[in-house]
Amino acid sequence: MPERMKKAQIGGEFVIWIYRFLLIGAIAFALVIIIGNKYTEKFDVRQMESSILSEKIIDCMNSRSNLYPESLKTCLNLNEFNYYIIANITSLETGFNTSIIFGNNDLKVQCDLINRGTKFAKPPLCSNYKYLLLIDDEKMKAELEVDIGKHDKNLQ
Amino acid sequence: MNKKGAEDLLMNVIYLVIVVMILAMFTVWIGGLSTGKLTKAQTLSKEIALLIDSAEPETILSIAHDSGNVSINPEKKEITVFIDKSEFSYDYFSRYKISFSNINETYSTIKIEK
Repeated sequence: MPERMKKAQIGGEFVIWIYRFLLIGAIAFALVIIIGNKYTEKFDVRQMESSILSEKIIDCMNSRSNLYPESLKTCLNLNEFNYYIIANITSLETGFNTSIIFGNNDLKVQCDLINRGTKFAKPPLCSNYKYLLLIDDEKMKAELEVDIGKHDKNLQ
Repeated sequence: MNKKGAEDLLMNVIYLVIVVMILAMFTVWIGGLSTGKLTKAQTLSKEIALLIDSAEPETILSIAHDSGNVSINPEKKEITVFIDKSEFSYDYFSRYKISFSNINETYSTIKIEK
């Protein structure tokens, strides 16, 4: 076999081996990406957090004197950047009615948009709760909206 | 066996060894993933945060963790868990005073006080 043909044959085989190694490398890389993404994804605990927070809000509203934004803020002592809270309290006996609103307004805007059908890559958690309360011997109805951000810790 | 055959055999053996090594690494890696090893720090920090949030004053939480390290920053209201080279922090919102003590490498207690 002439020398030039021999060299060409060796070069061709080398290319085939490179191709085989690259192929197995690409398959391995794709598997790592797919399986890694699936198994290391963050799980969302905001629904549980929201439920606990709604109970804490109700605990804080134990008397008429606490049905004010400042007293509720002091009682909860939240990092307001991550939360938005609306509490509508209505007396079932008298005409008393009050709303307590505080927190990060951006979360409220996003929740309103979600309710109108807008999709977000990292949406906040928007929850609503209804409670019947006895505050200072008066039957009251509390409607809570609890919106939680914390996207980075709960969503991929 | 001629020289060409020997070269081919050597290349095939190298190729097979590499494939087997990759498969072995995958088996070990997926084994670790399936036991939740990579998400242990995240699981533990979120569980502790939710337990603190739902706890009433004068509660003592006992936490067993696999040779990891748990720490609490009361100023930031943040729990950090470090297990097997992975670290995760999650914040709690409890308004109560939280005190943390490491009993030993795998056991800690958290006291919630008014």
